Amino acid sequence: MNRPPKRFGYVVALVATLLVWMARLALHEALGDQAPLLPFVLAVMAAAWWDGFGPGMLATVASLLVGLFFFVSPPLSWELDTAASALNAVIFVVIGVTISLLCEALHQAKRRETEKQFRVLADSIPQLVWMARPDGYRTWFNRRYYEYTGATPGQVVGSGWQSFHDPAELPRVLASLKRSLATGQPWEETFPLRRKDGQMRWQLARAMPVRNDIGDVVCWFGTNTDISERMENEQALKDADVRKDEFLATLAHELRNPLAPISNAVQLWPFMVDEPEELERLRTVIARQTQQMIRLIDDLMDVSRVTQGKITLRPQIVELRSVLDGAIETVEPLMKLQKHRLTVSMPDQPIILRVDVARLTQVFANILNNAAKYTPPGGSIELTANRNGDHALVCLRDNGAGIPANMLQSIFEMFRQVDQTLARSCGGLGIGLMLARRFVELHGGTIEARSDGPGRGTEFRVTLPVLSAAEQASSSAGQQTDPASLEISPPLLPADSTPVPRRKVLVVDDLRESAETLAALLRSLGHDVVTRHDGQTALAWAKANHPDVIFLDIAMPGMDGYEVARRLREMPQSPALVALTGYGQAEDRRRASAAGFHFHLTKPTNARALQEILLGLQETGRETMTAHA
Amino acid sequence: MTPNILLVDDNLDSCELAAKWLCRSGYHTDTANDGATALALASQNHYDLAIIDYQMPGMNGVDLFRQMHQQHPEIVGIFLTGFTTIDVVFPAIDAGITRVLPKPVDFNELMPLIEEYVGGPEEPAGD
Repeated sequence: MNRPPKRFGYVVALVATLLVWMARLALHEALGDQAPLLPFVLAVMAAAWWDGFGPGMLATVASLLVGLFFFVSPPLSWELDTAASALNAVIFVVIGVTISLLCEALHQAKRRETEKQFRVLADSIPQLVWMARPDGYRTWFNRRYYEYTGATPGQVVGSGWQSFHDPAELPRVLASLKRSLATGQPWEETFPLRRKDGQMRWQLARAMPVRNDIGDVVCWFGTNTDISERMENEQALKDADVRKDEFLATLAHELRNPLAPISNAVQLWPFMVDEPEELERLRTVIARQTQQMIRLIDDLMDVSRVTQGKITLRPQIVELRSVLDGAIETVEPLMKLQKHRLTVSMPDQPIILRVDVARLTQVFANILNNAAKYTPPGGSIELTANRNGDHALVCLRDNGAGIPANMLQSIFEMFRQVDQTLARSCGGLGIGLMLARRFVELHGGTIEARSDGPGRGTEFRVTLPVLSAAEQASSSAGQQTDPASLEISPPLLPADSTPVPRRKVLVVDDLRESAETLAALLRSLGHDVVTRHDGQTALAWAKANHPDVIFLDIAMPGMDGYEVARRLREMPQSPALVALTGYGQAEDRRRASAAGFHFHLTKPTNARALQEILLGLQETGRETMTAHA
Repeated sequence: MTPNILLVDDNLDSCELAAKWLCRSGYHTDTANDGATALALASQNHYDLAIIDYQMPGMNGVDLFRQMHQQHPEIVGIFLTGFTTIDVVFPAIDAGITRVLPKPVDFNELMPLIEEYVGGPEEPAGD
């Protein structure tokens, strides 16, 4: 390493000599000719202490000249008239040289220690470190640099380091480095640098000029930090952002898609009022497409729950076949439409699992649906299930579009579809497989995709732990309904006609249309229904008329549903309270229950759920349900 | 002469109900649920107007109309899409489509357009 020039040390030497000379002059009266040179040892010590041999020797020579001239007889002359004077001079020179040498040795030892510490530091940090002369000639590299490049010192010292740069990027790097060398401004640049395995990895280089006491650049000290991973992460974030935007566009489209036939049906309705068959047909269309929208929104809610880790399974003991049958049923219409041939092969022995039936049906329905969607019409789709040790293995093979090898993993990421244009033409939100994987993993299983490439079909393999005979025996006794399962979910069609007694019902919703449709549905089920659109008037009506059941929207301006519920519960005989919300999360149910609601329904609701609640009033009695909720 | 309309939409419900509306309005209407069927129909019959959904399996609406338009340059195209974004609308216009409408379509908006482009039915069907 270069040492800074010692100019300042020489100044110290001259100043110290001058000061000692002035002090000796001031004491001349008292000292006379005694110790003419001895005080100058102080000047030598100061200079040598400051900066080693050179300044020490300068102080020695200057002190000798000044001392001889002024204080050694004869005065004001450099002559030496006595042997004692000559001896004085010689002794002074010997002392000066000795002090200078000793101080130089101390300085060098200190410097070596500092350099050693620097190298230890430079070798221990993860960065590549280098030093260069003011002209850019690189003089030193840390051990990491040699490890990273696999080079020998001879290959990188000087300008050899440039051969490890990307030739395409090197001119840019050299130009900015040259600018910094010329101006003395710190250098910062990013560039790829070849690692010993040949991989070009991005580095962030920073170099600072090291200046001496008077501000001249004596060398450059530089570091390279590997930022490849950071750049990859940044790229991944950007990609995720693009995927999110695509997802939002797809979502908007997917939600509009079922709206189109609903809108058509509504526009046709007035012209069909005299044709009951046509009206029934329109109603079926609206019901089917509404169901489709509910499915989409349910998926979205699942994504939100899954990403927040809020999914709770409701495991039941079932046979794998019944789960697969449920999934097949949901995709049958699409299979028929696409004229696919679906073959199912199941083992003779039943495979018993302890799983959340709804979630697993969703998983298999999703991969079946994908197979149907991405296989050209008339395709062949095979579903096989087998027991493999303590696991069940379900394989779904199609002869459809296939998946490129580089996408086999990422199709399980959120918002990912193999081909955006293809996906647009086939619909879907690109969240199904992500949900499928999370659900399978929550069950302790695995899901993977295999494909020989585009156009060569796809195979999905799902494994799930099988329930052992012992587990079956022990848990079959204890199977019970999850207390949280107050929420009652679809189908949309009215329930088969279990007679429900006529109830006095109040529906409270600030959205008039919502309130009126629910009221119409309840009236069609034979109940007496009144609607109110805010908390205050609802409370007043309830206190005066004592309804059996109140359906309460939660999100209302002014007094919200929770508050209304709390006040209703203060009545001597509280009616049954049903919360209506757009959210079906556990937290919403908990809040509703805390506010005194007996039931919680997620909008849009349906006839069966309503009937079940109204029937429940009769069968179980309100107080039981209160405890239950 | 009453104009002939070809309606192409892979959503069976949507397609059937829109066709019902057009028939009730007095137009001769054929339907197809995918691009290949639509092209086959267009090669056998003469259509004055094609109303096409963008998103369909196999071939999207833009590619379908481009092919149809090459074979029958006189055909007018109305395009229905949930994606009224520039990356969909621009290729649609480029393919020779006359009008792009966002889904769900308002028949009261659609009918005057059809009349403007291909004329009304000879004998409007009464209700």
